[in-house]
Amino acid sequence: MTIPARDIRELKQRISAISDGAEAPMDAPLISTGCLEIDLGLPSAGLATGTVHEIAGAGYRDRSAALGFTLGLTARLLKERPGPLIWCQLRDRDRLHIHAPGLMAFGIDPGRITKVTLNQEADLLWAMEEALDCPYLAGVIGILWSEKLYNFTSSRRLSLRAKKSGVTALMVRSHRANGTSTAKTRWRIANAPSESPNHDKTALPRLGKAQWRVDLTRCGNGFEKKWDVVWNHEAIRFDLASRVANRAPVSAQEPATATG
Amino acid sequence: MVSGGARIMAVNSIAVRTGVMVDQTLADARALCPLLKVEDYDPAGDLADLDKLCHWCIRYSPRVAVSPPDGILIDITGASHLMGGEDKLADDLFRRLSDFGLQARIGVAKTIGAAWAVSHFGNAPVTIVDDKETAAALAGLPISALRVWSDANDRLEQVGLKNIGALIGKPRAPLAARYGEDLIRRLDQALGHRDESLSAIAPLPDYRTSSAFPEPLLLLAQIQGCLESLAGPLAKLLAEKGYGGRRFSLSLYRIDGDVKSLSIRTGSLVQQSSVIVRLIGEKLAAMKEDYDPGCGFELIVLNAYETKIVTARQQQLDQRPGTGEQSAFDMLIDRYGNRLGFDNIGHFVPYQSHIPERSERLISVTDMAPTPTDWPDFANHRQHGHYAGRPIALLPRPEPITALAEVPDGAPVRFDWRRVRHRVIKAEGPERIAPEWWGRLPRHVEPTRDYFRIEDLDGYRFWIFRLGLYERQEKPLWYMHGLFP
Repeated sequence: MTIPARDIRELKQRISAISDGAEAPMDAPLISTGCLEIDLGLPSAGLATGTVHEIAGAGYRDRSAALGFTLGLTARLLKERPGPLIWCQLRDRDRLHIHAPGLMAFGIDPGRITKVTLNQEADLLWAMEEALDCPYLAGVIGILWSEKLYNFTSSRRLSLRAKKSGVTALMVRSHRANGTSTAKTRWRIANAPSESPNHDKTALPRLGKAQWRVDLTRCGNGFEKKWDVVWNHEAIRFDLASRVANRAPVSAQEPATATG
Repeated sequence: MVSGGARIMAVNSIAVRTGVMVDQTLADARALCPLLKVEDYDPAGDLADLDKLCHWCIRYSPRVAVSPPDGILIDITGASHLMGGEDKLADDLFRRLSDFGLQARIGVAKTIGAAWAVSHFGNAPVTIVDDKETAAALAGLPISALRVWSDANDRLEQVGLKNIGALIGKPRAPLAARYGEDLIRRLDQALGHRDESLSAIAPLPDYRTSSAFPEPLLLLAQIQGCLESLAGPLAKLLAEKGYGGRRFSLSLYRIDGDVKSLSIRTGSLVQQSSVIVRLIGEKLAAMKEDYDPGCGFELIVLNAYETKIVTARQQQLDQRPGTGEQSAFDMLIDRYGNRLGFDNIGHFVPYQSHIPERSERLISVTDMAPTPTDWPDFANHRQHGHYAGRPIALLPRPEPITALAEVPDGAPVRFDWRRVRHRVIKAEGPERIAPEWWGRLPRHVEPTRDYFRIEDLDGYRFWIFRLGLYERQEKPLWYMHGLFP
């Protein structure tokens, strides 16, 4: 039995009409990570907006790396999209909370962040859903660290709203996070030793730029990718770590200021 | 002289007919009336009930005050015509209080003093004194109707001045000299020669709309519908005057006298009915679980507080194309605030302090300065780039670590934090942060901190500090304070 091509086309149209927000529309703007290799590694050649991206640390101790990578994506978002940013986090004192002067050093203007502190995860998911309904926002960040309620259904609710408003959500999850979700991409971040700018051999070397092992575990087209990524806080972009790029300064003198 | 056990504090009219009186001993009263029903005297409970009743009375006028121990003052100036006149209002009030099982005595007069006097000492349960006849109405009442709580009453009685009429027209200076300034003040207040104002129990709304129902409302959906029909006229009222409100409340009057208020706040001045309906509607929806209409709601009032003129600048902003989105953001913040509390919605503002944990503050969106903080400008000009090298996350409080340093002023070579050993392979520092001796008590000044940025063998980056200086023989302690990405 043969099916006319017209019917198949129609069927495909109907399927795409009822499918959820997993596929962002083709004309949705993209956020470049600032690094060509990473952009090309993503299915849409850039980070899709109007959808949910998930970030987790590789282990418990890599929470700072996950937070750093999230802030890197946040900085890229804020750079390319006007408007305020909603930062949702639970009150728990044990969880890492952002330090505004540190954000300045990282390349983010804390003045654009509205921080919403919540008592429970249900409120956090509600707050994120509401925020994703507001197209005025540059983005919505949710910090879970550990999760009990967040699952496929709640990620789907977030994705649908994000798709409608065009606002991007970044969800920071536990390093133990597994299971399915409708997030467009999922990243796993591990800390990596930084490359010291130079070393005079008399004392301990200085710290280099923040460096992570970035593992793109889910991106839609099925290929898992790994990069060694450096956060360039001056140009506000991700760079690939490379020993070749890490040469001594052209002038032999010590850099004037220390960088974190 | 009080003696001999329990005494009667208050009686109802049936008890009075049997001869029971206030201040009688309980034993005497029981002898007069063996069927006497007695309850313990509970002044705090009485006051609480009076307070509740007072809130209920706001249905007649927003200006209501408690007059302990047994009275409520209602300023019905400009409000009586809504009920069809003073007599209708008094009758309505009397009837409703009777329905609650309360025996009320109501006095209506042009001054607080006169109304108090006729309600406490008048002959009828409801006494309405015409404005021109205030003096005449007071003349026959005893001196104690003037609310003078001293022995002046007894002394006046001894010299034959038995009622207020005897005082009116008497030379004032000798009266004041002999019986106190208070007597003259109260007399003037009762006659309207001197002002007396009541301090309202609840803040007065600037604008309000209300609807009363002959058939009480029972369903939440009905209340929601009523809210919508009240918000429209209120918004129209505000818009006509060019005003916007920052606080709104919906008061639900239950038929049994219980009053429930739902109030909301907004960050910016609001005059759109849709915003009011949405924010209060969410409160109504949240009430669903413990919703108790009793026998129904008979009156619903929508109040607007903290109203101000919507400035030209804000109006301009609203008219600019595409700013519907800005108002959507304001709406989002208002909804967050009303559900989660405005204290939990914050903006970062810099604070002039070198101590890291004090260099930032999270200020509630409602306390925001009109101009947002310019962080880059602050960092460049006032902190001289001090923010370079600050961690992205600060621990809630510094955690003690055990560290081993090779040289006294240097970075540690290894340390233990949360039972994990870290070997330091990269380090920067020290960055010395001196204590802020100004503005603090001398014994609260902390030792100097020397901060180091370090990286361990596994690539984790930390911000640690040493408290105290080696050269001063202070015993240095090491702390973990923040994490770098």
